[in-house]
Amino acid sequence: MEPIAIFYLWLSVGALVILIYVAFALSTRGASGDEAAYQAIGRLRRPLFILMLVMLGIMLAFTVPRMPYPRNQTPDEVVHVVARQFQFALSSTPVRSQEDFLKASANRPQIPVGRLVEFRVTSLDVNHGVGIYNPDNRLMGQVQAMPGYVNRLFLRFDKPGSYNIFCMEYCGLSHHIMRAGFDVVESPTSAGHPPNRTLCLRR
Amino acid sequence: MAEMTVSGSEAYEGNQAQMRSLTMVWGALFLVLLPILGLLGLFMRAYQSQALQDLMIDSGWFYASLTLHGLGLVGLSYAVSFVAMLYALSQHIRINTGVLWFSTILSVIGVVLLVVNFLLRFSPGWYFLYPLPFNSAGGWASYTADIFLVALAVLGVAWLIWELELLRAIASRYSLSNALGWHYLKGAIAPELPPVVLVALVCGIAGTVAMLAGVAMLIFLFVHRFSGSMVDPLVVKNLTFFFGHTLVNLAMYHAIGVLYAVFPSYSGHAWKASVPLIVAWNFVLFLVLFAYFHHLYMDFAQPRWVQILGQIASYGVSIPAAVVTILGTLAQVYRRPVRWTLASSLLFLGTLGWAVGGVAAVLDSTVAVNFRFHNTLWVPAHFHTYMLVGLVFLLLGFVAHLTHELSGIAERVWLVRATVALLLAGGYGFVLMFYLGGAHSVPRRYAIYPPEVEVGATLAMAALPFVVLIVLGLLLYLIEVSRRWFAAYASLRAS
Repeated sequence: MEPIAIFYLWLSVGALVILIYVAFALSTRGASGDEAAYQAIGRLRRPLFILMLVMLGIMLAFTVPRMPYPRNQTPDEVVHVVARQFQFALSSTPVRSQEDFLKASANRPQIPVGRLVEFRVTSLDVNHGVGIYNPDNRLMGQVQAMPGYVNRLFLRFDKPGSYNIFCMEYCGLSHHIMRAGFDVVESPTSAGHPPNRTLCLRR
Repeated sequence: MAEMTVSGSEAYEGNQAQMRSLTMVWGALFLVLLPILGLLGLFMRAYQSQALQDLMIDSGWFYASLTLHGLGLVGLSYAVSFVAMLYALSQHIRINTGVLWFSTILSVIGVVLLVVNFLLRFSPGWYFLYPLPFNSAGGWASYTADIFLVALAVLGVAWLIWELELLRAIASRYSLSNALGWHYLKGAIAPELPPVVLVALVCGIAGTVAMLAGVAMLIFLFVHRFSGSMVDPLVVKNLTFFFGHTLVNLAMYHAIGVLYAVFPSYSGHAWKASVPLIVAWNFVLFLVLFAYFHHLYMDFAQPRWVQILGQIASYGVSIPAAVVTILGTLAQVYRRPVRWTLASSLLFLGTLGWAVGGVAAVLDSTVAVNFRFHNTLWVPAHFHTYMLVGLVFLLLGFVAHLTHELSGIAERVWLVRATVALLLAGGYGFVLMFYLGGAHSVPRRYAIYPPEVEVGATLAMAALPFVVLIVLGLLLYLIEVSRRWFAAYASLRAS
């Protein structure tokens, strides 16, 4: 669901609501207080209720299967993402020490195009957010980085290019400089989506 | 007619007079604090637009402003709407104003502590996610976290006390089932239930539960502070959003209770309890307690069923809002000789803001959509829609109503029209820039945007003229309402 499409959806429904309000406000001009008019609007309650119930039910049925949570997928790649104020470290191996963190934070990984990547995300201090932006600078998806928890995010990158990670949870006074990145690159083996090729990040 | 007038029910006249004084004080606090806290918002958008670049202001002030702006306006809206609802309620039940004054004094102390912390640049954001207040990476002094905990404790005590007083006051006249309107479901219409009583009870129960969640959250924070050991951040996050989200929701519901009581005096049609209204608010009582889960959609460690429940509850609360309150407001005006004043216009338009912001909120409460919108500018977009052009309009409408009723001063029509036009144009233009930011994936809470999302700075710049319109609208509002306030205050003192 593209954000711009959601924006236009909101704009359309919002404009419709505004038009309805304008029409109702205009109906008060020269009005005499017709009780039948009040009753007529009251009779719209049931159809509106059913309409909303059906629409929201359809939205629920359509979107719940598209929730981004892990569903026993087997990743082609695993990327460990560790956050701390105000840095990210991305690594193909678990980050177990300060040295690992510093090494990984200086790293800009390469990921073969087309692979299903599992990001294992955690934090060493406060809450952060891992927002992954595609080469067009659009947010593809995100997950929170929380101390004491590992959140697992699965994404497939079908487009080669430079991807950015921005912190999506306010984490302190330098929140706005907290970022990292990786490159999605063409690979001769990328087309076939081979099973579980964990830890094949390129440095 | 369920009209709320200064005279009201004779049985509660003395109590209403006491409530008038208290409500006038909160009205004044609102009129003073709203522009100040709003100007922090103007500063933040100006900072993001880089219009202040030459002044070399430290970005720490941006985040300190972010914290006070959010905390202040959420707290102020909750408190003012609560008192406004009790003012409407005082026509039907006797409220102990001594308790409310006590809570008011504690609230002021809490606010003073928050302002002191602002000056010390304490900046954990309005929902201060644990353990950020204690872990600033050198951003603020550790003792400011202690001041903050004390401020939260003081405000928590103040607001828990008045929530309990609300429940006591309702229980003194109504049984639980009668106050929830269950007798209407069995076909009985006696005793008659004024809608504001039902709304107040729903808010009182949910508010008390939310305050208790706030107390639990505070206990965790104090445990961390005194033991130095980490407590479970996910549990604290749940408690924080349960407390914070419910408080914001309740602020709007308080104002809707006021709308039910006040708007009929302009439309000339009583807003009475009915089976749909009772069913709707009983469902709200249940659903509002689970809607907060949508703040944690991006915490994948939460159980999946909880996330689905969050989406169902978030969708669910929109139905009673639309079917009962929005449609009810439209029915109130349809082909009726509505007396359009500053108060009635703002009350009517406040429900519009709630509806338009609600559409955006429902979209964002869809997990699959939130995946791309969470913590982008879409979030301030929708909450500014229902807070600024929704709740603030409703509260400005109520204060205009109160001061008009108590002072009897005639309105200057041109001033009222200009006020409403400026607030409308400024408000909707301002929030539109946030929506566009969300559509362009611009992250929220960035003092300075990275080059990849520099469209955020352009949109912040585009928002500035609209903020100026809001400021001008508020200025005209203050010119019109402050003279009424002083006249009303003088008449209250005289009586």
